[in-house]
Amino acid sequence: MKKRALRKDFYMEIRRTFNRFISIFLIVALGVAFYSGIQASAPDMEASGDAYFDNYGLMDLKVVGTLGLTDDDVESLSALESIEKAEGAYMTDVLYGTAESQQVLHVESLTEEFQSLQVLEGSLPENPGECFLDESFALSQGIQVGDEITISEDVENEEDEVLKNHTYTVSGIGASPVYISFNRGNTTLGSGQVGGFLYVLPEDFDMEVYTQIFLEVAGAAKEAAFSDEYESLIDQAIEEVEGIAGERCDVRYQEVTDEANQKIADAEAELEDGRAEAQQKIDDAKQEIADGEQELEDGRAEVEDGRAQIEDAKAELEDGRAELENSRAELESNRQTLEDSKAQLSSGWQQLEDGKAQFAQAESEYNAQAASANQEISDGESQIASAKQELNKGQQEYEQGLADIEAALRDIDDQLAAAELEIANGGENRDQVAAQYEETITQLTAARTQLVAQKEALADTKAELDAGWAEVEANEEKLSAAKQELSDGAAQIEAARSELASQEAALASAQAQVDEGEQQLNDGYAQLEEGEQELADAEAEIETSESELADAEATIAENEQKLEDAKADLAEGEQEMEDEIADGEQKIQDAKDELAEIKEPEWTVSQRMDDSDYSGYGDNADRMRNIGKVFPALFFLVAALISLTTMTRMVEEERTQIGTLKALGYGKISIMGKYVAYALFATLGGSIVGVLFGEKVLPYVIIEAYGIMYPYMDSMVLDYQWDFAAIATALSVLCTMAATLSACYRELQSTPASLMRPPSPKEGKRVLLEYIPFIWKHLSFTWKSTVRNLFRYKKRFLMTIFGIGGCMALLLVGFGLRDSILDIAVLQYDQIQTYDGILVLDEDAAEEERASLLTELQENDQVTDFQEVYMKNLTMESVEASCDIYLMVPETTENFSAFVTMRDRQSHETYELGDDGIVLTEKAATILDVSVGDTISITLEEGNTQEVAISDICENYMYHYAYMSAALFEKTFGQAPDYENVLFITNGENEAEIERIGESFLRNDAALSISYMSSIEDQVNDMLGSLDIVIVVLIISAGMLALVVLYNLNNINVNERKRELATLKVLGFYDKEVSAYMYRENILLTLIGAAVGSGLGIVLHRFTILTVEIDMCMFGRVIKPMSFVISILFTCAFSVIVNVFMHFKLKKIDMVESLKSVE
Amino acid sequence: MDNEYVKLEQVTKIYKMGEVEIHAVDGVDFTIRKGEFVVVVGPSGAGKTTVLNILGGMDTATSGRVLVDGKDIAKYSQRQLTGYRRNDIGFVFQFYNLVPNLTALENVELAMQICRNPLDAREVLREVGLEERMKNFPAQLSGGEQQRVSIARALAKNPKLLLCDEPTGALDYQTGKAILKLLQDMCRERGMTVIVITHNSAIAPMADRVIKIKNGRVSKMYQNESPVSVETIEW
Repeated sequence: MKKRALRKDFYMEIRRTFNRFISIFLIVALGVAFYSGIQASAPDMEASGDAYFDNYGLMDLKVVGTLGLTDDDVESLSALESIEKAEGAYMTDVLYGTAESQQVLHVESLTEEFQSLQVLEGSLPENPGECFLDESFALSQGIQVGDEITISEDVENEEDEVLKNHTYTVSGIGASPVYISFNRGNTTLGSGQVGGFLYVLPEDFDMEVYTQIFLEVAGAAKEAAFSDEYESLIDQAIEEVEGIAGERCDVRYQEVTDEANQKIADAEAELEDGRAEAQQKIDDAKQEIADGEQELEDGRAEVEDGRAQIEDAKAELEDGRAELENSRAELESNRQTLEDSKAQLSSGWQQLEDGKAQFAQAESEYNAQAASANQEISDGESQIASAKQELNKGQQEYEQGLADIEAALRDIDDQLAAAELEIANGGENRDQVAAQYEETITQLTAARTQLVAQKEALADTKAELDAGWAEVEANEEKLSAAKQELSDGAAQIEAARSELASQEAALASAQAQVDEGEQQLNDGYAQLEEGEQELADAEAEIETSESELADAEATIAENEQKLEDAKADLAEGEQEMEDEIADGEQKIQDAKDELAEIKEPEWTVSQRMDDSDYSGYGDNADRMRNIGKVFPALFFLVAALISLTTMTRMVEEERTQIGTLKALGYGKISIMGKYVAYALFATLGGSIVGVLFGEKVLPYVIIEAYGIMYPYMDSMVLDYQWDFAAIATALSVLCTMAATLSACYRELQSTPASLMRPPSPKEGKRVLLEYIPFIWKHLSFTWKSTVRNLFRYKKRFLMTIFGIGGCMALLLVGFGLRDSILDIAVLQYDQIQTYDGILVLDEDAAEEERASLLTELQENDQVTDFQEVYMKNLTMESVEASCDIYLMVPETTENFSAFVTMRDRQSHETYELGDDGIVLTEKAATILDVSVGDTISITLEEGNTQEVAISDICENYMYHYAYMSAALFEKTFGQAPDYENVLFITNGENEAEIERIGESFLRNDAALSISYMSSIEDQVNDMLGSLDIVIVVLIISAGMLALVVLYNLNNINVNERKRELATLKVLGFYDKEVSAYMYRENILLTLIGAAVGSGLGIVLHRFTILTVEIDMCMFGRVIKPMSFVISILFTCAFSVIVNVFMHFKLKKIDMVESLKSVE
Repeated sequence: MDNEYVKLEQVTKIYKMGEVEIHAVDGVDFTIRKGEFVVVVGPSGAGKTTVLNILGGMDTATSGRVLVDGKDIAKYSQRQLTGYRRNDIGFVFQFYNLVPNLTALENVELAMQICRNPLDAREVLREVGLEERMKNFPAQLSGGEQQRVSIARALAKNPKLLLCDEPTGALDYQTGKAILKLLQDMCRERGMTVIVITHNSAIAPMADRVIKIKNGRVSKMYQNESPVSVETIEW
């Protein structure tokens, strides 16, 4: 590409034919993305797993010893060259929950170096009594951090318990790298399936030796899990570990036997000691009994004494009583005397009272008289006084009156004198004056007469007064006599009063005497009562003594009984001692026997691959790898062929230009360079984009999808897998380059001249169909041309068919996988195992409990049918392989077909259970590689392995079963099967109804648990659901492939036939008619492609099913008709989309093309 | 009417190539009578093919009128043009443009099945002298035979106009003459209006009307009073 013009031409070519460039680019990108992406998924899954296991320090190897493992074992293991680290740990299985929903938990001790746990909630246990619980178990049981859980060990006596605590506080919930999926392993306890794990501190274990030792193999961490390098390292390490196993086992054996011998010796010594001790005890007991008897005798004598004392006391009591009676009589007579005295005294008192009353009468009479006398006296005195006073006053008035009259008389005389003077003096007026005075002198003279009269009246008054005075003096004399009389009365009364007082004093002294007598009497009575009280007390005392005596007698009787009992006990004790000694001797003997039976211990070395989930993860990756081999290859093939066709076509189109260049003298290399570079650019670019995109996105989607099954694996490693990238890129580059080179080479072989001439047109040919006139004649003209066209461009025809067919096949596989997977649950539980559930019986239940449960089932009208079966997961082997298969033996074969349909998958011919051989399920037969008539060996229990013939092989999808008649079982194994399971069918319509019916059985003690087929069906669906995403990826990829392929091929087709199409246009074909002309071909091609794709799809589907399905189940082999329909519709839809695009392209075709010369 | 069976008036065709305008046809005027044998001559790039394309309904004129049998096809929509090609035009290509995987007969039938009143295919093929080769595929025919099939295909549609684009361009001298003869005969016998486009002015004497085109214009147009037979022409 040194020539500038050529380089320019190259760039122009890309720009001009950008559609073609892009379509090669895209198709290669798609092919490479799908090829390397799906292929990379497997190593990415493994790498993700490896990262997860390394992150969480999953052990490489685990050693379990039948007699336990010691610290010495740990040391010697870690001393091994191939072992990096070793650590001992404990484990045990315990029971959780009640009998109805009993679960088994696997308890392990936390280790420092291995299995770091994934804490999703809470924290790791830090103290004894705390535990770390399985998340899925916690979820299913509704246990939360902080809850307490109680577990129990399935041991007979407490000594055998290996855990110190049986109640744990959940400190954390999460996951362990040991359990990446849903399987928790098997156990000998309970249902046989471990429900979850539990991690506790080692301190919680009460074990002398480790149960397991975890090992890390030196250098294994560097190797990828699941890789051959890893496996070979592990194998070497196992060899080395097993190399020292024998030696270590010998040591351990010696230890255990020594210990056991020591124990036996100790036990014997102990037994001897025990015997001596027991003898001693018996002797002591005998001595005690003898002592007891002596004591009893003493007691009896004492009782007799007591009785005599009581009799004496009673006699004394009688004497006391008589004395008391005498005293009482004396007292009574005294009382009589006192009563008489009291009567005399009271009459005395009566007389005194009468005297007092008379005196009081006299006194009051006197008092009353005295009072009136005194009143009279005082009245008299006051009368005298007032009379005196009146007399004095009259005296005074008399004297005053006299004085006044004399004064008045003197005055009148004066005045008369004066008036005469005046008259005298009045000379001139004398007459007048004299007149005046005349009257006055008359008046005055009248007054003087009056006054003289009055002076005479006054002298009468004086006499009266003197008489008054005399009367007063007489009255005063009377009054003094009255006073004398009064004072004499008072003296008489005083004398009467003193007489009365002396009488009263005499009476009072008599009263005092009487009172004293009464006091004495009362004292006598009190003494009497006291005596009586004393008597009563004495009686009570006697009674108490008597009852004490009775108690003493009772005690004696009791002691006698006790003594009897003690004697009996002694006899029993002696017997017991003998028994115990015998027992101890027996135990020692047993221990000796056991010791003799102790087997040389063995080590079991297990590796990661021995865990079914771990290997299952690897299997899933392998399955992905298988898918990666089929699908992408097909995909890639289509992509490569398309780009190949496109490039060939491009070279052919440019024939003239090649000729021209050649004619101009360019070398072959220069000319080819353009096409090679074009192809290289498109393919390489597409590859790079495809790798970058595909190797990240597809593994991501797929690992995410598997995350449903492995919910705790949190590592995702999406490294570029350069080998797949390189292979895909190299293949696609190589394909297109080879195609380009060969096309160029072919063209370049011709001379320039012939290159510049149009190529001789392709011959039209009659197709085979034309020789069948019956069909050919009935074809319309256009169809004839279509058919001829199809066969004319054989390469395009094949490519298109292949492309459409591939798309159809991929779609069909995608939908078919869904059918196969979705179907298995339905087929298995609706058509094959038609029972509703399995009731597991308690093997320890009593016979009558069991019978009552069966009666209950019989009588329950919701249970339409039931059947007792024996069912156990056993290892069955053929010459080639071995497989864990459920052996199911119905009690009677009569009605077994109502529960399990044994039929051929294809012919649906049903089989009956005979006595000649077993009916084996299909997948198991495939795994064991056996067919009807072959025999397989079944190990019922250790040492009981028997051969049995296969009489039929039946359809089955989930798990493996071998059906056997009871008669054959007995004949084969020489024992009758234990029917511990009951299959039942109810008339319940749905899950909830069936479960309600089932719950009622569980109340019976004989029922242990129930599994419902519907819930198993759900589980199966969940588990397989993760493949759905893979299927969606397939469908989308197929669709994209179909689109790109069809578009590309149509593009080529249109380009190739531009001239023809232009001619049609010139001839007057409408756009629709031109399109229809092409569509007819496409429709035919699509139909043929779909038909081819159906065939291819069926084959591919079968192949995929076989590689994808896991050992445990068989996927459906049939693709549903609906899936065909959907796939065809999808394919047609893609075809239609492309045709719509093409219509516009056809419209754009210029008619002028038809005028151009042929290129 | 018959005098102006085909009439082009000031027909121009301008292609725009970015900034540049190319006047492929720059005002062409001519008229053709019905039943005439017309030869359009001119050097390469003179615009004669463009004229043919416009006349054949494969391209539209930028301006001007194109009257065919009284209808202005310049105003036709794409769909009308297709109908026009379908029913009124027969086209003979320089490189025959036969559908390779159809036999001679089927190629003729291909055209016939879409037009309104076709002729009988076998009859037409017999007329063009291919009675014996009807069932042959184009690849089994010589160039001249292929061109005869092409002519038969055009004729079978019973078109108003038979347009031939360099019909002898890919043929040798003798064959070319034979083809021209066939066209002339068809014109004479069937009264078909035939327009032949060629750069070979030597064949002009055989035409009823000669139109010379140069630089997108009609440089000269004349009627040949006494057209000669092809056989007499040498070139």
